[in-house]
Amino acid sequence: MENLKKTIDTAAGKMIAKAATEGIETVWDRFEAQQPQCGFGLTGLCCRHCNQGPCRIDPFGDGPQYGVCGADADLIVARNLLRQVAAGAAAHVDHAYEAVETLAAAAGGSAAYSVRDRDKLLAVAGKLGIETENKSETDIAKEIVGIARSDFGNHSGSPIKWLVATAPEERVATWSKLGVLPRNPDREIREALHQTTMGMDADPVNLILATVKQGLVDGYAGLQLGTDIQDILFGIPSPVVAEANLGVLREDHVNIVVHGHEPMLSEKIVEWAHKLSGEAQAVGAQGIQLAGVCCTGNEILMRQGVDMASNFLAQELAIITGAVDAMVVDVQCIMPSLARVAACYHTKIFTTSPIVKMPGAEHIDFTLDEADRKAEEIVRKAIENYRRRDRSRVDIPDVKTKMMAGFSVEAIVAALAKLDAGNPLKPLVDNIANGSILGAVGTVGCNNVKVAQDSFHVNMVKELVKNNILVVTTGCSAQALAKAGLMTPEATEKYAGDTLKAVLTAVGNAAGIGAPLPPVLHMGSCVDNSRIGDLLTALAGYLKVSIKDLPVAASAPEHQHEKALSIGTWAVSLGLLTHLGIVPQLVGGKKVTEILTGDTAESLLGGRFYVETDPIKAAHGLIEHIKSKRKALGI
Amino acid sequence: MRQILVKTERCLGCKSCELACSAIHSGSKDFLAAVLGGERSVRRVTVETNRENTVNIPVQCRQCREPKCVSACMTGAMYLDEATGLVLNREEKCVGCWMCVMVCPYGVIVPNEEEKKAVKCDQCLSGGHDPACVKACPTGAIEFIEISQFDKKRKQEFLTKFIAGEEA
Amino acid sequence: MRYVIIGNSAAGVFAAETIRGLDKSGQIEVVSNERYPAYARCLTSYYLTGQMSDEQMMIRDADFYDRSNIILNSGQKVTGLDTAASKVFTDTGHVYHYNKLLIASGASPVMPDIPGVGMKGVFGLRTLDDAKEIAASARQGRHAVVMGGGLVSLKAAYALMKAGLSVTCIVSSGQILSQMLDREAARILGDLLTGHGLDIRFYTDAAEIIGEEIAGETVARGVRLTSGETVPADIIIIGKGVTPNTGFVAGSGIETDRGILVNDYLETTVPDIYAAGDVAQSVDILTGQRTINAIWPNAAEQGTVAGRNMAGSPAVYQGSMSMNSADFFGLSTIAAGNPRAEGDEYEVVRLFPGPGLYRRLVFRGDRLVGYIMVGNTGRAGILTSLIRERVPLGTARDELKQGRIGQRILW
Repeated sequence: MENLKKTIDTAAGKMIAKAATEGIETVWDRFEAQQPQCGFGLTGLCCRHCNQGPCRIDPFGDGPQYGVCGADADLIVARNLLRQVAAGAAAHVDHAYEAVETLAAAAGGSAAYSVRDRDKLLAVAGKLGIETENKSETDIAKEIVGIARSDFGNHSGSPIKWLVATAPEERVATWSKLGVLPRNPDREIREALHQTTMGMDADPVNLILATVKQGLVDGYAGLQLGTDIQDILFGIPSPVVAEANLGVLREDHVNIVVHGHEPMLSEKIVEWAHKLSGEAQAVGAQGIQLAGVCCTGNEILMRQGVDMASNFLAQELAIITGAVDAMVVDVQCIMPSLARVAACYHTKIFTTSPIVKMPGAEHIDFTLDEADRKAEEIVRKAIENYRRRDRSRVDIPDVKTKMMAGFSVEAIVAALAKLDAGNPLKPLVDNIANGSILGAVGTVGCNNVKVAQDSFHVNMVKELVKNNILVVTTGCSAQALAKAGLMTPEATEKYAGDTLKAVLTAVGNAAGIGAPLPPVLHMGSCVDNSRIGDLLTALAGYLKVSIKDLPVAASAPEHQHEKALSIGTWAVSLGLLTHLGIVPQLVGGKKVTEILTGDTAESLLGGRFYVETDPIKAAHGLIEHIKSKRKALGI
Repeated sequence: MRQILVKTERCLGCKSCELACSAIHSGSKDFLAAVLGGERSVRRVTVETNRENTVNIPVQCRQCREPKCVSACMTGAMYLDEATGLVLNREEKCVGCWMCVMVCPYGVIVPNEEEKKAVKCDQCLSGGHDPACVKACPTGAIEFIEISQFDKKRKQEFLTKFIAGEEA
Repeated sequence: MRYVIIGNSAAGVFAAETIRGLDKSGQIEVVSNERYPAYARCLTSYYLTGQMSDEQMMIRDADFYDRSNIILNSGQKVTGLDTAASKVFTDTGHVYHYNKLLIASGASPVMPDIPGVGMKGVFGLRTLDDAKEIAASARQGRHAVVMGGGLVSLKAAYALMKAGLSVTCIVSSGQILSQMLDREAARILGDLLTGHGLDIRFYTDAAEIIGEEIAGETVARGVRLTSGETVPADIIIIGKGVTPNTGFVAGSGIETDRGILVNDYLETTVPDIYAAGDVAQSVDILTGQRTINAIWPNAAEQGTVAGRNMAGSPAVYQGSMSMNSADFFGLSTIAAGNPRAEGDEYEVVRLFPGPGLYRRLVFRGDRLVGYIMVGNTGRAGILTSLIRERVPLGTARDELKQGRIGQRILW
């Protein structure tokens, strides 16, 4: 594989070359070794749900068309998809549950955590219908925890409260009519596993509806619940300036990279890194440099302005700089190869979750009770490890870009309020209506080794902003776009279409930046996709239309994780055209594919999946969709 | 002349060769595109297994030296190409009478009913004589190799095992 | 060495090619009464659809004869042999001297002895010229009658239907393809063909062809059947079988029966003279009797074997075998061996694995001796090979009876 086919990130490219020279295997080597990948798996036509299998359906029709149990291609694909989406939802719900537990700890008098954002506390209490007058923050927090827990303990048929409190009524009615309103996140995930075992549901359509339900579990008991609670605990993000890419690592600093998804530990690491920077000097370093990978990085970037090291595909490459003294991981997207790569250097990998352990890594069991002690221990060990760094093997690529982040809905509204304090959404809506902003696309999700790292995100988004589409972004997509320099005022000058540029300049000037807003707004981590949901809900409410009627679309250009499918399913359920840049493992089921990408999904939900593997074509597919929505709105 | 040869003990029966064959003979030559496009691409290789399901072998045209299909072909489409040693079908001449199908002892000529053309393995001659099934095999069970070389490797493997006392 | 080959179809061409492969310098002369390079005789029915070009009909490239240094003497009909002097005479007055002679003169359609067969519009279907004439008439005609229910007749009927004509098929027996199929298979195919508009009349025959005088010529206008009914027709195709072209060997000392008798080397009773193809009566692989299985694959193989023997590289002919393949409206049907066998010494298994699918397997003792496959015929060749190689089946016999060979399913 040529390097250009591996990444468009020059820092990553340099580290890939370094890895090759040093004989260290990376994700790209393993991908190449995996070629060819099994076509049955690629198309979702392999079933391993029972021990009579594995069964495979020939997608070209020459071979068997039924599995041993009698399942056909569509049934196998639909079952596999439901399991994938349920697994993705499980990840987000488990994450959100940790956040709830943390808020419970804070309300219970934990020394480590507290309610940092009263505004969010009140806002969440408000939407949940909690009386707040004359109540202490702790009491309100306890009530919020109570409602969250009651969703997990809901044994009735009523829908998840968090969903009903958050989603637009029109959507709730639509989902109710389809019978897909989830009751209790844990119960729904359990049911999905049951539904897909041998000898259960044989109706692909029923399985797709169950998949939609999992999308809603993900959206409201995962993303929304997680972000709401995390904002209460750690603050609503507001615009910050930071730097992105491996060049943020410093040769003369103790470098600690945090990687994973939850902010509960990484927030503590940030605290302790500040507290112990003096000790770093004691071992000969100038201080402690923190940098994030994946969404835990996004969480502390959004709220604390911590620099970003890179995104998913470059996690090994951070270690290959030779300059990382500790990589602290929590949950999700952590490559099992990290310990092997780290073993080639002095780098220590600290696993912290009881469900994420890794041979060759040091496990420090992170608990809410001992949050400070564990975070301190990790930072101290990182500092200590700085001594072991082999300077001859350090090569930090001199590549980093400036970036703006922190665009929570609240921050966006605040910026717009500078233009119209009484009616902050009006300037945005007016500019959409007059066509200065043609529409908006949310780009989310991962890197995937099947495409050159970041290339799809960056090429598609450049094409979108050129066509006056405002881009909001989260996750590894945000990190890709940040590294490509798309989160700077200069990017607006360079890449945005003229009318979009004018709007962003006006908002930027009014907000006191003295320069345009970036054409791509970083809205946070993967769970922060709920922020995009909130923004759409607000816009739809303002315009008194359904989300499905807005001139907007979603895209997961380089998705790899099951979570991305769950988020995508939620997005489709919200009524969004949802683009996938990599063919999902379901196209062997013709009917299932047709339903998800065609009129059926659109007529039932207003949204559908859209698979296009060329970034420029995808951009234009999204633009066409936005234009058709504009036309329907009469703008 | 290289041949497609199989180490049966390495064949796991995954049928990746079948899919690669279908894909390379599809309009787009790309597996996912062919599936997405709903193409009915006909493969030229089938993974067969023995009665006990213990030995798998991908079977495609054996490229007979005295091919029955060539003498049965009433249109002159099927011929033995002296330069490559391959039995090839000139599809523009083929009318789909299936006389070749009727006489192939290995059952490896596939009637493409839609196109009315007999299709068979040409070792991907048109694609640079680089068989897709060989490239697709995840375990290296299928090799495209000179028979003499294959023999030599087999002998070496046997002797290595023999010396190690693993082979009686 | 001088090789002379009478006939320029499957047997003749494969023989010439084989000889050239073994003898680079010998002189090879092919004598043919037709005016074309070797063409695909079996495609003559396809030609009637009007969708085949002349070029598509040719079985070899245009430069085949030059490249192989084979002299083609076309448009010359062999009229006699002088085996003592090793000479071949033609109607054009040419005399060919040979060291080795191959008679691959083929066969001709049998014309029934009824009034009107000589009229314009009445055809046999054997040669490309026949096909061209029929195709020309088909462009103006609307109705066609095909006499006979064999493969040639049905393929012609099928082609004319595709060309847009309404076609009636006259079958004297009660079933089509009675040489190839059993009643069940014939019924499936018959239903398919009639479903697409073919008018099949069973248990009747043509009594006379009715014509009218047009510009001094009697032109066929219909067929009166033995049943008394008259079927209108602009084109009448006779498909009542063929007879070997042996006339010119009379008095040469070459022994004939129905065709020219040959031994295991495909040599006739006169040394250095060989026969192959539809004119040769050679051993049948199943019966061991000498018979004519007049099909292209047998002719091509016989040509190859005869060619080897003529060029001094002895080869034994394994024997011919009856087999055929038909495809109407996408339904492929293949039969081989002795598929219609009945009686105590045979075991017959009939399988109906799905809509439009039919299998008939005929066993004698431990051997497969015949089969019929209707639909999904992809694995037919394996069965053909089991018959040809007389493979003892053992336990595979029971599998076959369930429609399997090992793990391979026969549909």
